[in-house]
Amino acid sequence: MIHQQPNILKMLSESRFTENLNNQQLQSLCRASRVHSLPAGTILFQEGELEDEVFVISSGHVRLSMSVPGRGNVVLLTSGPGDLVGWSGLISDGRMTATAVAADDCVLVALSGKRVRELCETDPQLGYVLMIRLARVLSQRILATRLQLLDLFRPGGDSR
Amino acid sequence: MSNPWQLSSARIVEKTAETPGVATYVLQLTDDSLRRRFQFRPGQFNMLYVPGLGEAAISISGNPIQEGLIPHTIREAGNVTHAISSLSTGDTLGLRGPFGSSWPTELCEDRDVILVAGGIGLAPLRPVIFDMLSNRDRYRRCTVLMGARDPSGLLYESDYEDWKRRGVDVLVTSDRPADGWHGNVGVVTTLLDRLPLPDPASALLMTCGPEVMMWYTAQTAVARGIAEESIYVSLERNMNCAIGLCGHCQFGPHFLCKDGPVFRFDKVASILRISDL
Repeated sequence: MIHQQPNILKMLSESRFTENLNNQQLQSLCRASRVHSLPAGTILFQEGELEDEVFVISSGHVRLSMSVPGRGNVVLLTSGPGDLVGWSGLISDGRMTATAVAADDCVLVALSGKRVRELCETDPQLGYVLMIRLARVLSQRILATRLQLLDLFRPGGDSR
Repeated sequence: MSNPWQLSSARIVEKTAETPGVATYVLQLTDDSLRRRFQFRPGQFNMLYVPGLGEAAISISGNPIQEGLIPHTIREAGNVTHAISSLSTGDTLGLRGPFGSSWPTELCEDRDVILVAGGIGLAPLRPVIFDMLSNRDRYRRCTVLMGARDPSGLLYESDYEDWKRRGVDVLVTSDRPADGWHGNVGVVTTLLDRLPLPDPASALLMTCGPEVMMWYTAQTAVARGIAEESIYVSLERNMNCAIGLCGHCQFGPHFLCKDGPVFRFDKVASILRISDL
């Protein structure tokens, strides 16, 4: 489905990853983006595959899972509005480390990883801001994973 | 509460299984006069006494304006709570209280209020939810973020739809996936991370759960623009006398039973992450 550019502008300006950029920077990102509608149950990307695009969720939720022999796809995290998924495309060859499936009907902004990296090269100020924000996304993911690993609600765990 | 040492007899009038190892016991003081006079504020606790075993501090999980009925949601975690779990409707136990500080419902007027609970931590917050439901017009947006180890640990789950219908938004998450679970997976801080906060400076957040969870909930809230002075936590230690005399629940300069269990986050933040305090 083709969407109008102003839609993308609004969606990007509402995401924590791309909010508060100046208009020129947002316009540049818009030109590297498309809107992607994803019905519930549809695979967005698969673990192990190469994917150039990174995705900002505008609405809906995406379930991230990893395949474990004997256990199938184990869901690790649900991402929602404002979250960034498929970040590998921004900093590496874009090989996905998880499978992403739409948990409900989703609208996402798909940004070309290659074109965003080029923008970061030509506009280092934008590149710095985006990389800091990406680092923040990854830092939050690590923290959330650590809290999961701590298993705080296990019987006999924390006294509460 | 005239004499804090005075035990009163309380009868279990209702017992409801909640989540694995957790049940709610609705108590009623057997003395008519005491029953009529008993009042508590959201977040306060009672000392429940089982003869021959001792006392346990248990938060009151009921509606503060419901006269005569005193619900406690209890997880089996030690000798006293294990003994209580074997009691049935009609059995009696001893009760002292209520004790401690309370959630700041008086500061909620015309503010967005967010409750963040983990596991059985929703029990001490439930009186606030009752207050929201009774005085919905006093609050702006009301949101409950609830996290559990797995979907079977979602406390009071059968009430969520009613709360939503009456204007309290409820978002839940499970730390780990489970067969048949199509809801959110991830820790509760991830829900707070992406919660729309149109006016964070005026938001007030109350959290109860494991201390590590509360700490990172507070960190996430501050990162989202909520002031430390608008964040409240409920702490737990081994409470014994319940009136700040015995020192069992000393926490830095505070006695949790008397000065707490509810604290403004900035008052305890500097000592909250001190190991073994």
